[in-house]
Amino acid sequence: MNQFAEKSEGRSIYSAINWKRRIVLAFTIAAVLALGIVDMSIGSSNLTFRECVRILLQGPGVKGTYELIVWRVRLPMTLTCVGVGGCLALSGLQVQTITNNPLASPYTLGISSGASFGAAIAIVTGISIFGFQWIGTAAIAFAFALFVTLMIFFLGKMKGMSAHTLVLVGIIMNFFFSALQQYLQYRASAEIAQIISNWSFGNLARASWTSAIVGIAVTFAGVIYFARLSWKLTAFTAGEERALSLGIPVESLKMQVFTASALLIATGVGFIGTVGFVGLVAPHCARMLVGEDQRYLMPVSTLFGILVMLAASTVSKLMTQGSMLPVGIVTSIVGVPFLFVLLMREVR
Amino acid sequence: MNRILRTKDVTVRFGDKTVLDRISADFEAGVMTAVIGSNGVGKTTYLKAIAHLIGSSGTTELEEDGRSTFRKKDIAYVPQLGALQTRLTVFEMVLLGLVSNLKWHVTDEQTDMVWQTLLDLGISHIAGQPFNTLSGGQKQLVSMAQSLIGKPKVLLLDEPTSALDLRHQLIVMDLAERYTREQNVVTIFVVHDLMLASRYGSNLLVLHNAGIYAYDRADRILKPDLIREVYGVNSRVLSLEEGYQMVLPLEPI
Repeated sequence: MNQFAEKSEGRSIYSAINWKRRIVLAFTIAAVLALGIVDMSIGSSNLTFRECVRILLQGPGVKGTYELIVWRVRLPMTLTCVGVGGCLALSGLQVQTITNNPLASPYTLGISSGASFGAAIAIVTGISIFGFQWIGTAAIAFAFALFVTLMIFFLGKMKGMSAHTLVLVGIIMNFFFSALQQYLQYRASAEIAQIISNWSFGNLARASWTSAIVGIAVTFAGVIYFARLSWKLTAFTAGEERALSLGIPVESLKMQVFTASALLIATGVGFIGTVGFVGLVAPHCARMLVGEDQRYLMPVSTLFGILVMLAASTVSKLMTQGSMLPVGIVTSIVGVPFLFVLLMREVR
Repeated sequence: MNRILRTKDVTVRFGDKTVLDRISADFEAGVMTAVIGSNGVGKTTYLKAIAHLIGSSGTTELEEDGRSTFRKKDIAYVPQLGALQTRLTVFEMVLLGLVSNLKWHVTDEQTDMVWQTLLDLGISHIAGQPFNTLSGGQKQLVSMAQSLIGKPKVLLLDEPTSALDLRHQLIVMDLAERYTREQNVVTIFVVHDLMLASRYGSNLLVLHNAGIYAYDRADRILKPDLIREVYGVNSRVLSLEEGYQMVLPLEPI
């Protein structure tokens, strides 16, 4: 074989590796669009799939009952799924990446429950920032999410943490914050206690155009931010010590990524409450299909998070005619067995 | 080119414990030096201090034809193979060796560099395989390929043979030796096996009690007295006609 043939063989092997990933990416985008429309066409009023598409294509101007339902209720709810699913999956992926721990996710590490408790405080006190209550809620949720992530960061730095210790810390965080939340619920008025209780399930009934737009904007910003770090994050998968010797500023990268993840989680939790396991399930499925090159893994994980949320929302609407089962319940019912399987694989 | 790695007064403290106390040693290029000593004596720490991966005082300089420099990218530290379970393919693992130069789009030139490195190390046939499905020997070769693609002038190998069977130990060490000679690289390796140290180390640096106990050719160093002092073991040392030393451990003291 001459030199040229040998060279081109390397190129073709690498492009074959990436070609499959592009196909998965394309299919995932198509699936998100399809499931989005399916999700939108399901609900209490008898809107057909076809009508739903027609109303969407017409644009928001037309007046009519179905038009209002689609543009005022269904679309913001579906788009909120997109925003929340994206935020949760993206943060889940990056927390897994920098802790190098397949069991890590915002939910299993207790970051979500910290954020949820923060949001509960905001609800009880009715805090608003710049006149908006959602900013107040998201800000306090962020503060608590950041607190938990920094605790994990410094504990890891001090003690050096194995996969299992990290998850145990998560359990402690979960216990601690759910106790605090229960206390808050116990002390609050019946009405507020009800709101907090709903919060801990993750309920899409709270969705609005604000939650949709902010959720999607934050997801988009997160994707752009992590895209710039994609090779550094990929190097992390080759081991922390390895990344350090390849010249990557490991500690500062961890700090940045933890903070960004906390912000993403707070956005997810701040609008519709705790939705567990999306950040665990989505990155795993994505990793199995596209491998660990972050240029593909990151967008595909994000899209999978959106798919999981859309699927959970569709199921929750189908399970309860008329009202809406909180999505958090659906994701947890699916997520717990998933975590169990992962844990068994780790222990083996 | 005349190339020497000089370390001077390298000192590392963890808390109030001094792990390495003013270590000064020079290392020639083109040959390999083995760092030996008992567990916890600071062999790995010494390599990491040379690569500036941990906080240390003292200086490390690479002298080339009389001119001294220190550039972190000239030094490659290959960590001990841990329980790394990444799904990255061999091709991507080696590509990551270029991580500081990678942009979103990987250039053909970079792809070719990866391929050439895989060919040089004889692992091109596993290019598309995920890292977590490889054998220990293959993992070690990939790990070294990842470091070698950056064309380092100093190669620091931390127990490169620890998880390998006899044949793969030799394959990995032969490869390191060839690269060291052909590229005129300064190579320092940490090893527990004294036979490998003697077989591949043109010089042996013995760490003991935070300092250098001895630094010389294997046949001058590997003596029962030293083994007793450093390892706490009674032994016999045989000089083989191939020029290597064989340490036969007899009993702990």
